Amino acid sequence: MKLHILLLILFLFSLAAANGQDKTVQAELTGYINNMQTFIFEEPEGDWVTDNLIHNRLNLRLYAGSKLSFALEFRNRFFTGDMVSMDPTYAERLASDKGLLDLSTNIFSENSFILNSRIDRLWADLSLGPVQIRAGRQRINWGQTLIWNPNDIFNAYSYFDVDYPERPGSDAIRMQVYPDYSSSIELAAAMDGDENLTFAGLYRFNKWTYDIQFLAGIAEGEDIVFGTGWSGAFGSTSFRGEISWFHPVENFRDTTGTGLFTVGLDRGFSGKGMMQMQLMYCNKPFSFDAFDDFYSGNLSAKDLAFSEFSLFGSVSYPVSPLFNLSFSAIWYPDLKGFYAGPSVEISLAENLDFSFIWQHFNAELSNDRTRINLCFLRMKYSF
Amino acid sequence: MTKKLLTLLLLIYPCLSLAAQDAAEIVKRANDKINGEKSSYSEMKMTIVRPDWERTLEFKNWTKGREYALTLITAPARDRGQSFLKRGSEMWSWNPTISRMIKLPPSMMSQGWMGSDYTNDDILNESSVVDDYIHELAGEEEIEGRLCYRIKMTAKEDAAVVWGHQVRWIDKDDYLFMKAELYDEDGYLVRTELGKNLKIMDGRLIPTILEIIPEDEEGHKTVVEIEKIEFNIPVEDDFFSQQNLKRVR
Repeated sequence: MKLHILLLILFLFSLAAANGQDKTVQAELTGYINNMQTFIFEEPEGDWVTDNLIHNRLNLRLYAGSKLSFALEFRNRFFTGDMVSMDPTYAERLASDKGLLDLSTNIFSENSFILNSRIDRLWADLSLGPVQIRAGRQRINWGQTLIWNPNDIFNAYSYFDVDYPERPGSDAIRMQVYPDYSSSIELAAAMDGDENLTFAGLYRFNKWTYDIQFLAGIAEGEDIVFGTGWSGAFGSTSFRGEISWFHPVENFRDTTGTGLFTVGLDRGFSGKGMMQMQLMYCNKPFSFDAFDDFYSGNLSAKDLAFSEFSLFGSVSYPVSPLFNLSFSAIWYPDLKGFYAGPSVEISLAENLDFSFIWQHFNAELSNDRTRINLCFLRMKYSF
Repeated sequence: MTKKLLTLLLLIYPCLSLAAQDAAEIVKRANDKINGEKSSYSEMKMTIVRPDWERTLEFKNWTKGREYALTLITAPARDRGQSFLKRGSEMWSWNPTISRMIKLPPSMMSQGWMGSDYTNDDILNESSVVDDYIHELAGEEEIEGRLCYRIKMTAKEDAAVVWGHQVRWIDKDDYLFMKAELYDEDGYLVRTELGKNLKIMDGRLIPTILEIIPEDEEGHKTVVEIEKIEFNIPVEDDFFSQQNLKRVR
């Protein structure tokens, strides 16, 4: 089954490539290469866990005429450092793919280094007038707010994963219909590696200068989900929000659902940065006891909250156009803790960027006060 | 006495209104050259020049009237593929990397790119130099060897504009914007714009380089270069849609 889908997509690719003589076929290759050094420690004077990652991303697009297009995007990552040699499950976790298709491979996995290649986009897209159909591994992004997205039921992501701006994709078929310039009707079905089906429909429209959406479906084969989201503005400040309600399909009458409600404000100041705030409420927050859960790749939209209330705030300020300073923080009252993270971004040359990101977590996990610092130093060349 | 005053007013008034009409007409004719057409397609390059560095942004731009605009960033690599849609006072951006459409707040309209002296409001077809200001002819001057009208423009009270007033120099023969001085609401000069490198594009003579020089900042400027422009392209209102925001190349 998995192999068939892969073969079908490769066949479509070669079909398009075979038409190479045709002037309407265009290929595009973009990507980046970066080197990131990570330091993890509790106290600066204590032990450090250090890791290095050389990361190359390639995005290949093929346009066959105006109706058909194809994408293949993957990341090749070369890991070295303490995590590789100390954590026996590290290689295995890197190689595992939670999607229906297993598209992650460790090309080399040795004591001191791992080379992993993972395909996170692999789709064919057909557009016929107002109808668009896309099949394969893709990102279905239904978020409206900027930090936590309970409406993003196909592939929620971890805010803390700093080195994955593209975010994971899901193996899905998606149809989008655009009745007019600002509205769309979508139907999408995705299946994960355990053959859990997520199937949902969304209707988005623009009214009173707000984008408004409603969605309903089945999430990960276990919950009925209803949701709504919006984006608009009060004066110059954006006002966005999302509400999702998940209710288990099994024992429908005897169980209670999980509701997530989030609202956010953001505002830009001409040439002087941005401010953001977001508040989330969840009646049944995800209880986690391992710090790793913060980073686990395929979070579900239902598990976004770690505390009944969570409050996010951030400011970013361009000290100079090439030098951006930002600070963000999240308060988790139930964990008696917080996250705080300053970051610096510097544009060194036209396509060369340097980042320094510091994440500090301070929370009570399983009755233990846990303090962790993660520092990332990254140099990135885009092409 | 009253009669005399009235006569005087009657004599002056037509002259005043004639002058005002002329000035407005001149601005309108100049504006029509670049913005007044039904639609346009352009490819532009914007370079931010600072005393010790430069950065370049390249983009494609489709417009229809003042209401509709679609902009696609083609360089640098980091930002390539991002697009912006403007319909009336609403604006959306599309980030293809994460397949995310974001509705932008009105405050983003005046955010510059990388500290550029050029704002989104400028890129996405701005407020109207014709409708949002009161025009007044204030002499003639030579700019870059061409004789120009000097026109003072004061923002109308209810107009949603960034500038309090402007002074513009418009070429007398070809009605080209050759120079502009833009003042804030308190009357301070904020930036100067210069039109340069006159060329014939799509059958008409236009300045193909626009230099924007902020006041009080030595060695700072933003240079917008028109690499290609086509006027009155056949484009439907439907082109300026969220669907196309995600598809445009």
